[in-house]
Formats: sequence, structure tokens, C-alpha cells
Amino acid sequence: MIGGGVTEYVVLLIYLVGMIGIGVYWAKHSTTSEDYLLGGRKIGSVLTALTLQTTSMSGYMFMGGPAQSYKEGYFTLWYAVGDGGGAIFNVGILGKRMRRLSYFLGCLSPIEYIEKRYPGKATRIIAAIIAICFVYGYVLAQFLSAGKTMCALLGVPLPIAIIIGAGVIVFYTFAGGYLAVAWTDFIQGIVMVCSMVTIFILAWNQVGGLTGLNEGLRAVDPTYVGMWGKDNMYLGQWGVVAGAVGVYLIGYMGLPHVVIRHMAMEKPSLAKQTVVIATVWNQLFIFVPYIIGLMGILMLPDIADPEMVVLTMAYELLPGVLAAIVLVAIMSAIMSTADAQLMLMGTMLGRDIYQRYINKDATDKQLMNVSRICILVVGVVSVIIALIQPPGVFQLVVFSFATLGSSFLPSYVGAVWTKWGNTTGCYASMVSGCIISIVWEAAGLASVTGMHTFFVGIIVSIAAYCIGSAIGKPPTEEMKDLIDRAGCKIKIPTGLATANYKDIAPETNGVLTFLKDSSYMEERGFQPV
Amino acid sequence: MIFGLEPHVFFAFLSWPVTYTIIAIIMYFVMAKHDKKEEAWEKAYDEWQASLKGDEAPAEGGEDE
Repeated sequence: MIGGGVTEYVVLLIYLVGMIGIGVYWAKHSTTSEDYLLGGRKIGSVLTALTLQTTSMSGYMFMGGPAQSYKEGYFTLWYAVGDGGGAIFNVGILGKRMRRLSYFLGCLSPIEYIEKRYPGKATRIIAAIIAICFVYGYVLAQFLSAGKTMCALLGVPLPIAIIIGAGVIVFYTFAGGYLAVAWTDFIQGIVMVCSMVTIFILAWNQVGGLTGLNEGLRAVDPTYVGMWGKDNMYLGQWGVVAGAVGVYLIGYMGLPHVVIRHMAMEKPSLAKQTVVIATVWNQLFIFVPYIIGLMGILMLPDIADPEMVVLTMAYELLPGVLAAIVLVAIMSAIMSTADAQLMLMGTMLGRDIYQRYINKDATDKQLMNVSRICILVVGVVSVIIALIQPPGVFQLVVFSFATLGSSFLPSYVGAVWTKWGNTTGCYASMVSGCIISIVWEAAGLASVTGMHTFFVGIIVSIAAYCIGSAIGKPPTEEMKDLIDRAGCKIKIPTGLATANYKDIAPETNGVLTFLKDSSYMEERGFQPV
Repeated sequence: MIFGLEPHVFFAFLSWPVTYTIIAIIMYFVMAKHDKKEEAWEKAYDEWQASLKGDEAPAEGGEDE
């Protein structure tokens, strides 16, 4: 136990009450199902960027990441290299187009989006089963993480810690919906990055800057500052490096609880600000924890548990209240991931199951209430299971990430970037991605072959998407037009732009005006009138 | 040596924060350029749709204006 004093309890209490307050505030402002499930599609760029990134980053960045670099040296930064560029890929590839297409299709959930883009009787069933099972695994693991963190840091008994941590998350998500989740994520994101950067700056002075750090590490063990890990453990293993970089560089594009953030953006044009804010936040929050872990090798050479390196440093370098805020930052990292997943569970169960299969004529109010009840039920059941502590729940996070990413990534990316991607391709990709991930993980092939589950899953899934789309029925012309429109590339029928049509049908004047005035069309080789 | 690291190690690990930030800023300007074209396109598209229906341009709540 590192904390446990009155200061820590007071700071944590203020934080938890603050989160509950945000939930209560936004409960009054969520009047429609679109407000509750997608924040009324009114989320600005700063909020989108921070909710996107805090959802992606869990408590691992405060504990697991620094512990890895403490043990393996610079090699661990390969993970940061992938993670650091994740926002560029995620927002750059999906952001704008997914926001547009989801709006055109009238979708409120990422599963409904898949179904409407790839229409078919089984689309929503397959997507919902995969998403609900594996997002639920994620929720469970985050609740357990929250409880274990409070237990380890404050000495609160584990059952009480789980109930308090999970209870607050469930409450504000239940009450305020997406807006509460986005605003709590925003505050949590600021707390997380400020805590990490403060510790980094103070530790930087202690080790004598970057040069001092690297020379110190070289003196301890030259392989710490090499590319292949301590004692050159991973020498020449480019497959492991490619997996470490690739998993986090593109993996988030397949996570439904992450991509739903694009759908909630106020305007597609906000993607450009979002990509900059999210990327800058990433550089501060992702590379820094790993470097703090390296600093720990010099500053805390005898630490018993490397996972405590950030916290121990906080208590050595910061005054009591600020060190207590670091405890809050760790809870923030866990809660910001858990709330998004819990919110998605409510969205999927309400919109994709209840309204789709149980009550098709459900009113807006009914949908909102059912989603709220689902969040509450999922939360309570998760707390009960977390108290029982099923074995291997932490491995479930890695497993869930790989399975969700492999199952959905080709369908989400193909939805807006290809017109040939069709329902057969979507089925093949979801099923094969899911099955290969489960088999690869269950058979322990990841450790035998040195190939990450996600790496294998995504290759198989992309291949299945392409093959399935090649043999399946192509999307309808209407869908192709919508995809074009999402990318602002629709072809206005040029045959209409003739004087004859103008004479016969005066309403085509609009087309003629469009074709005359739009330099956009001319640049793309369309025939001006 | 660059900051106490061999050049290839430095560039493999520590050049990325700056590289990603520069890429994101470049993306901002590229996307801003596209936004301008797309705004003009969407306006024209809405007018075209309205002319086909004989109505006013449809109000797309939440879309770019």
C-alpha cells in the first residue's frame, strides 16, 4: 500500500463526487435518445479528441507500460511508436467519412451502422454477439482493475473498492449517458496528462535530462539503450516489432466503443482539429510513461514491484496533495475506458437488441429508459462477477482487443473507403476474424509463433473481407451513392445537363447551376455545361 | 551519439513524437483544404436535391454548413 492517508481519501472523494455531479448535470440535458446515446451529435473537437484517446488508454499506461520499460529498456517503446500514431490513422481514415455515412444512414450505434451499410438478416446478430461478448469482457476487466487499484493504493478492502469504483462509473453513465461520459473523459484526460507530465519534468531534472538518462542506463546495462530489449532478448525479431507497432497503430479502428466517437462529432469538418489535439495528447501521454519507467531504473533501482514505479516516483517527487492527484489520475485512466464500454453496452442492448428485435415501435423515451436499465443491469452483474473474480480476466483485455479489432476493422474501414465491400465480405471478415483470434489465443499460438493474435486475426479478416466481397452481391446503387456522398465524390448524372432536359424539365436548372458553378466537379473531370 | 543514444536507436524510438506531431499538423492543412471544397460541393448538392424536389434546400441538422 502506497497511499492510504487522509489526503488521498479526501482527494479521491472530491474526484468521485465530481464525476457523479457531471452525471447528474447531463442527466437533465439528455432529452432524446440521440442525446443520450450519441450526445446529440454535438460533440466538439477537443471533447472528441480527449474522449477518443482516454477511451483507448487504460490504467495500463500508469502501471503496466512503465513496468515493462523498467524491465526491458528502450525496446518497450515500440508499443509507444504504434500507439502514438493511432489517432492519425483512426481519425484520418475513419473520422470524417464515418461521421457522414452514419448520419446519412441514421445510425445511433456502431453495430446498427454495420447493419445498415452491409444489409443482411444476420449482420446485426453476428456483429452484436461479437461486440456484446467482448466489450463485456473489457468492462469486467476494467471494474476489476479499478477495485484492485484502490485496494493496492489505499488499502481499501477489494470488495468495497470494486463496489465504490464500479458504482460511480455505473452511476454517471446511467444518469448522463454519452454527454456525461464525454465530459468525464475530458476532465480525466487532463488529469492524466498533467500528472504524467509533472512527474516526467521533475524526474527529468533528477536524472540529468535525456543524455544523463541514457548514459546512466548504459552504465547499468548497455542493452537497455539498444533496440532489442534487455540482454538482446528480442534480437532480430522484426515480427514482434511489427506486431507491437501495428497492433496499436491501426487496432483502435476496429473497436466499436472507440469508433462510436466519430459518429458523435458535431461536424465532419471537426476531424482536422481532432486529429491534431488527439495526436499531441498522445505524444504527451504515451511516450512519457515508458520514459518514466526508464528513469525508474536509475532512480528506484531496488523497487519491489515495477508496476508501482510511477506512483513511487510521485510520492518521492511531489507534495502530498499532488501525489494523491496521481492516484486519481490512475483511477481516471481506468474509469475513462470503463465508462465508454459500459455506455456502448447500453447503446447496443437498447438500440440493437430491444428496438430492433423486441419492440420495433419503441418511442424515444422508451429507448432511452431501456438503455439506462441495460447500463444498470450490466454494471450490477459485472460487479457481482468481479467480486467472484473469474480467473484470467486480465488476459481477457488483450484477448478482447484482438478479437474486436480483427472482427470489425475491415468492415469499418471498408464501409467508407470501398464501394465493392459488401455483406458477404462483412460476414466473412467478422466470423473469420473472431474465430481465428479465439483459436490462436486458446491454442497459445501467439507465444509459439511469436505472432500477435491481432496481427494474425487482422490478416485473415482482411483477406476474408476481400474474398467475400469479390464473390458476394455488390452493394446497391443507393448505397454506392451514399458512400460517394460520404466522401463528397458523388457523380451527378451528366446526361441531365443538356439543353433538352432543361427544356423538358425546368427542375433540372439546379443541376445545370451545379455543374456550371462547381469548380469541384470540373477538377474531377466532369463535363461542364 | 544523439542525447546519449546511437543515432539509429534515437531515430527508431524518439523521433516519432515530433514526426507524428508534424504529420498531424500537415493533415490539418490538407483536411482544411478538402473541407473548403467539400463545403462548396455539399452546398451545391443540397441545391441540386432541392431543385429536384422543387423545395428549399434540405436542412441537414448537424452537418457542415
